[in-house]
Amino acid sequence: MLHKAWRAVLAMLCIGVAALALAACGDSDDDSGTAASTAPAETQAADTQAAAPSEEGEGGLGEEAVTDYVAYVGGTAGPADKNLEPIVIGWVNQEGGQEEIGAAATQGADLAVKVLNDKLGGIDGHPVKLKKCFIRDAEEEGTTCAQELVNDPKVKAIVMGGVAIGIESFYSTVAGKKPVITGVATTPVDGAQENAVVLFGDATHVLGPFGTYARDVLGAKTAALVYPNISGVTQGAEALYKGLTDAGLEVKRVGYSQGQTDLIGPLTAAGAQTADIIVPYSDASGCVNQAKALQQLGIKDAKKIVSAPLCLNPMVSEGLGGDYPIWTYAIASSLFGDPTDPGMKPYMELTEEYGVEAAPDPWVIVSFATVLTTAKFIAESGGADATPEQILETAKAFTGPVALGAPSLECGKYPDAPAICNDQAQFFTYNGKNDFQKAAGWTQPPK
Amino acid sequence: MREILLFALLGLGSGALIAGIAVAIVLMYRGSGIINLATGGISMLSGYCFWSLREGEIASMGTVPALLVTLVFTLLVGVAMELVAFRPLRNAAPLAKLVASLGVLLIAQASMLLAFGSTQKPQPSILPSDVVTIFDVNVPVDRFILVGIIIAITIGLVALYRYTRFGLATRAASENEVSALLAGLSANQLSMVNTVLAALVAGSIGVLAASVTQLDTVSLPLQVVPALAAALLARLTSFAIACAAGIGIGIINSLIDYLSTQSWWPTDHGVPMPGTKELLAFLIIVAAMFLRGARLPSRGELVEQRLPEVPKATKILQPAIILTIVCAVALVVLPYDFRQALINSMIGTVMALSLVVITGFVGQISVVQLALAGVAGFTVSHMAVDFGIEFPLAPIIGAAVAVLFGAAIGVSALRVRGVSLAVVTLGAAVAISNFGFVNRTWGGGDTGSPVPQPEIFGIDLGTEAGFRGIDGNLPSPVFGWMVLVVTVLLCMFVASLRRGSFGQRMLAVRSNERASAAAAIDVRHVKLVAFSVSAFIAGVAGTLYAYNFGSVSADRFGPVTALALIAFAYAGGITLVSGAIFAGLISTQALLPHMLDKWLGIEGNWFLLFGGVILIFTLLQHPEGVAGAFYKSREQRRARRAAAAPPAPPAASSGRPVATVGVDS
Repeated sequence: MLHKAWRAVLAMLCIGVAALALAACGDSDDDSGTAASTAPAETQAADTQAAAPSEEGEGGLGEEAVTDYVAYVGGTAGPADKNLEPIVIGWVNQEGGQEEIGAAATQGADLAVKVLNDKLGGIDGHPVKLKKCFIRDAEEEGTTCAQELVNDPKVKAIVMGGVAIGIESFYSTVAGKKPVITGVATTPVDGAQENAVVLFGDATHVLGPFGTYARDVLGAKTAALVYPNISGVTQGAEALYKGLTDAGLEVKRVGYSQGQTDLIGPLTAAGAQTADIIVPYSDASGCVNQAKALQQLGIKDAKKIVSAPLCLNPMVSEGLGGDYPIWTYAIASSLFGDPTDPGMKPYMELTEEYGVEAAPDPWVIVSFATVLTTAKFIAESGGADATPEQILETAKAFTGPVALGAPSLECGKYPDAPAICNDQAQFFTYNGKNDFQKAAGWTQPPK
Repeated sequence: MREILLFALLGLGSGALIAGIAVAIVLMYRGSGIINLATGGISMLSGYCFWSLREGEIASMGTVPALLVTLVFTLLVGVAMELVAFRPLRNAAPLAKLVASLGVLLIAQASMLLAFGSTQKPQPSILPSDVVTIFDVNVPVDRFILVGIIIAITIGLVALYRYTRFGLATRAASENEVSALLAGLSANQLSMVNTVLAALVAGSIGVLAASVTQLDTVSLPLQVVPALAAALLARLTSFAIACAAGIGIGIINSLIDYLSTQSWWPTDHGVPMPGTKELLAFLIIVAAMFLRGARLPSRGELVEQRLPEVPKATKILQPAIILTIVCAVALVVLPYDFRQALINSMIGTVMALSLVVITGFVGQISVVQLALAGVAGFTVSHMAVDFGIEFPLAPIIGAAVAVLFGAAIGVSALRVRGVSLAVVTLGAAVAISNFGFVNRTWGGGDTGSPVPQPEIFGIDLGTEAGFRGIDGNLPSPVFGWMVLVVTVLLCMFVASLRRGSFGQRMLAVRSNERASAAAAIDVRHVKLVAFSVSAFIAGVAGTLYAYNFGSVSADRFGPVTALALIAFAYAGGITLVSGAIFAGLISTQALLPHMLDKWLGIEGNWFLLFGGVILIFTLLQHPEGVAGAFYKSREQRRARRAAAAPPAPPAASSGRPVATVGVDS
């Protein structure tokens, strides 16, 4: 702790030190001495204690849940053959810049590779290797990441973590040369790709069930929808509006500017103080402001504030002092510690065995399952001899259940979003201190 | 009426935040003549300091001790900022000061990111969290307290500047530095005190506004955009107007929130039209500038502030041929990642060329150039997707649309100039980005904005073309060659522009508009043509970006990136074609950043910190930019050689003509 505090003090002094060094440089011809003395910050994971959903409500996938990973990936129990050429999977995540969506997602991908190589016999006996590429904060990085992975003939498929920046240039460059398997897509761009598969859903299609939940569980008649006007988020807001109105609710919605920080105005304009269900919708960067404004307005009923899982993010919990907003969440994957979900148990055992610090983070769960499922696709497509076309065909034909995800998949259900394979979500009410209570099992959009 | 009143009250919180930062901007400008883009960044630093002292990151202090330490920290930040970044640039061009403040902002953001990570922090609120009921709606009481504090600070500042000797001295120095000096006043000391006061005001906002904002490295720094609008409405002079305008912006935003729920409010694909607030803010600024006219009050500086020299290129064809051959070969032999970095560098060069024309040659500080590139890029995408029009017609139309926008902005520049034009064009960039690019009808579509590969007569000129260089990888050198041809032609065009009679007229306008008009130069015509030409170049860059990415994204053309572009261009040498080339080399994912990343591991937030430090260092050491420094050094060497050499015939010793035309903006 002392070390950390000392680092922080150094960082606060960094500007002064750098500045004085510069001043010195300004007075002399010596070019040296401008180095700052800050240390890289450690990414703060969310509170890593296990979440503990109550056993109320229907849960998990019952017998359908994936509990046997060896059978799931079609491997053999035991380690991979180290003498064989590794099969390479590309891994892309948004990390190292000003905004990280799934900062811990890479931990899940790494865990999957370790488990594949140590316990599941790799892919067709071949060890598995990740080729990682991180997008930090520029559209150009989407292009360079795509080139890096497309240009490497060893890369069989590409798995995406939480990526929003550079996503368009990424897909334009990949252009179908390699199959892209995404867990949770944060933008509608992923879903629109012909040569991609989104296993858990995207920020648009898993929002339809909000209407069903509002109507059938809450018995709601009115809804307040508040969201920032950001590319991708407005599309999600439109999907939420559709889902809620399809369920017969009267919806008031307000989109606020990206830089707007005080949200009591937008919430009041949307009628949040009297609505039966309030939907604060944002990417992770906007959740703290939404939570604070709701708290300040005295709106605290966790059952009627319903949000997307993007707010279940370490960035948000840290911004609120160590806990997630006390809301209800629609989650398109399994939830850490859910005792009603048999599929959660093997994951929890593995994360304990391998010491995965951020195991409860939904991004770790999703990325673990996505890499595992991608290995399954490669194995079923011929292993080391699998072609991109075969892998994509196998992925699109997969009907579930997906490990730690939905009971059934239907890729191509939406013609305008051919990559989307799931539009169902579970609902959990969060009571604080890692206590989740299941509010509704896997729910479909309103008919 | 009830709703109007209610939502006006609900807008007080964000209005107070904007007003506080606007007042700090005015304070800084009055004291030192700098429009400080880092004002929101200072608020952020104080917020981080207070949080880390209260919440156990550094210490677990009580509120009062933490406040006091934060106060001291903010004071030190103000002193360091003044001594290091601003005082040495007191007599530099306004753009240099603006860029220096951007450097300060980059350092502030990078330091906090590296120290505390990218996650938001739970900044404790020190204002009461009670709620009062107004018109049957709960309203947090801290909004009223916050706005009260900001008004009290404003009244205090008004009194300080009106009734104290220090205030009178600052006003005197602000109106005429030379006279103030003759009266025995130290402009440096006054500037220091004002900078520290501005830092304290901004820092206080960072601590007090915890309930209306979140603590991260983006939220508070971005508040500088609406705050600049408020400060501009106050002509960067009046605390009271800046405060009122800031609060007014908050109230208008809140009223728009309410109005957007009405059935008659325009929609885009079923959702209330995005970006209306930003568009309205821009229109208000433009209207105010037109009505109030002219420029910001001159500060009567000690030394006339000039942009760097604009040397006339003596050779154009020879360097162009050499550059073309070197790059053409490099595109084939370099590995694919360096090939891509070279392509990024060339597109960055074209983008910077548009700034060389409008800022370097004509002295108009325009932040909207990147947004114009975005307009062209989105046009190319819409032409292909909606109308089936592709290369080469689509990029021509894209550049033409950018020219239309550029000319429209040029019209507003007829009455606005200097740093006020920078603020107006920043408002335009924000409006175009939020109202234009985020809009799904005329901006990015539901699923992105794809751009097909450029093809002509069946020949693929895009990144996917068949020839893949020595390593056989993407991107194709063919696309690089196309970008190279465009870049070289535009470099030659800009260099020729400087040498021609129109270039002379542009420099005359940059130097002195009144004198130019007296010399029968049509200042309006020169400005409009210059805006159009620079918009065309920006439009070409936008179409190249679009073909490079195979898509167009709103994020690539945002206002923050636009400010960074200006910083790169200035550091490279904003008056020189070679400066644009250097700016291209250091732009995003260009050759220099790629090498730093690949060979030294400097990337991400470290690069941000490195960039901020290098930016200020360059401004201090070489205010004319790196290319300007090279040029100067070369000229000095030639002069020394000429002095050492035996006397030459007059024709041979005439030397190269050097224009030393300045700008009074």
